[in-house]
Amino acid sequence: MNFEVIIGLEVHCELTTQSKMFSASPVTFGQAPNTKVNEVDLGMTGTMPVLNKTGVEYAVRVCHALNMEIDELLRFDRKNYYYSDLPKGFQITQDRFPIGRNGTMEIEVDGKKKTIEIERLHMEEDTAKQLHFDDHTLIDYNRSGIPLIEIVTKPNIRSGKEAAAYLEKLRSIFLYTKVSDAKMEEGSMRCDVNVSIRPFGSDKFGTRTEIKNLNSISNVQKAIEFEVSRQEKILLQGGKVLQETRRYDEGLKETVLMRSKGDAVDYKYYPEPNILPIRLDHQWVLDIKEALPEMPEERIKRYVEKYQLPKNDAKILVATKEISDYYDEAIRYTKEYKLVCNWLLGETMAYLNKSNTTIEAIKMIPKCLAEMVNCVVDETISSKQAKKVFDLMMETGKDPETIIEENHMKQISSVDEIRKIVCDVLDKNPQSIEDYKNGKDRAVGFLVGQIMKVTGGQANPGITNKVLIEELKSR
Amino acid sequence: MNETEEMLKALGLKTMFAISDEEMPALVKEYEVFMNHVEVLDKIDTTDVDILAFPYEIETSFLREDLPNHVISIEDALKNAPSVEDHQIKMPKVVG
Repeated sequence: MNFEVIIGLEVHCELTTQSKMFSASPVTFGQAPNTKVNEVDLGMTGTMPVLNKTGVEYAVRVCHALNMEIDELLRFDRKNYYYSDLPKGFQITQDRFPIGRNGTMEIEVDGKKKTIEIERLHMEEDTAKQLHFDDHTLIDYNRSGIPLIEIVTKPNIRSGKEAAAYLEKLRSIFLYTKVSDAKMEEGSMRCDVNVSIRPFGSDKFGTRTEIKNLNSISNVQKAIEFEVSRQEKILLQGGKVLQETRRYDEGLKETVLMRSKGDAVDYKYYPEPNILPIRLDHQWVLDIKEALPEMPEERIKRYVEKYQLPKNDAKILVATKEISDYYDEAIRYTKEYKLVCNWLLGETMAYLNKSNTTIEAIKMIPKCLAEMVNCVVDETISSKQAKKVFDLMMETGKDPETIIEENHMKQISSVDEIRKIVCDVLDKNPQSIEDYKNGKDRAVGFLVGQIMKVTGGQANPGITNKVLIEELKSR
Repeated sequence: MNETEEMLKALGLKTMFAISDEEMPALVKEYEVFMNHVEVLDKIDTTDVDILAFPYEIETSFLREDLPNHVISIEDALKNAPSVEDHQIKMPKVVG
């Protein structure tokens, strides 16, 4: 039997505002425990939540980027549950009236385009971080109250690949709209997956399982693929898929049971009485759209149309915002758009992988890469020398001009100068001229070698060859 | 244990309160008083009545500027904690 896969994704994203969603304590990561909190975050009695303007602005940015309808009347609800990560006993969220509804995102999988429908985007607050030990738990409330947005798709994702493509693009939207650092491995972007399968042609949904604790996009894809095959096996053997929460075990490469949904919690949502409905200024909402930074797709288009980059190169550049930003900065100093792209995607990426570092951390600044490319094009240095200059820029952070100067790498490209050297070398090697006349082509190689030796490898190879042949023929 | 007591025990477990046998009679009594009130409320017909979350139907427009200008000291933050370890609140483990 063939099954159709039904996937819905819930993504939480921590916003990089200065202060928390409902309190004026700072948003931080990796600080000493319980030093970035105040009375509101700790849920002390008598405190009142006050909504963060930038938190709302960031949510609106993402709503715009996902083509959503925006509800300009903000209303909040309480989601009630008792757990030690939630000192108030409830989380402030938007249950009834999410700020964004009915969004869309176009993805491309195996050359096929598809529109993912997005159900809702709502604002809420993060919980405390808990560290579990064998017999006790330690709680750090620094994360408590950090602004979150949650984005929920409709169940119209059909494969692990589609899910991964959606998440990649969503992540790049978070980065390009500058609302989050969106690091799945650090938890600033989190994804829960709902998966079910049904026989093709059926209009009823099968029982779904929820997969949690996914710390990378590739694990989301692997977890879905495993879960689909697990459910298929159960159904083909005449069994029933149970509604349960599972997690992905990276070591086992399997989803394993966390808890069954039989004892599902009723969150008893009700309107948050401490926050009156807030009407956003319509013009402000429009202004946020106007001021939206260039989105990945627009950037790809610009690279292809304005700089004539191959679409695939443009896509690879844009896939990592920092690399793309680096490229944009570099091409302010050169017109060699394709060459800079080649150096970035080739040598630079190789260096990043080899050194296990990021583009932000390297010593070579974009301007220097551009200047080095210019030096190759105007034949100040050869491509071979460029590689050496590149390595030295990475190592020292010096600019190419200094490196070329210090290492006497400046290429000799003056025909007159080269002719003089060629003649000197020929005068000293009459045997080679004889060999050449007798049809021994090896003689040319030998003579070029001699010229390079004299010039320390700085003679322009093209010009050298041309002048040498001219001189040989004239003798 | 009667039905009410069993239910209260189960609720206690869910909300993470251990209820001792000594506490039970008082709790049952309070529960009965409470349920009597609920029964009175139950007689009111609330069909088509909207939830009243706010006494006034007004909209506001105030949003707080994003300034991180209020933290409390770690001493104050941990003052109410019965047990502290490594500047964190120490709890019995409640998940597997």
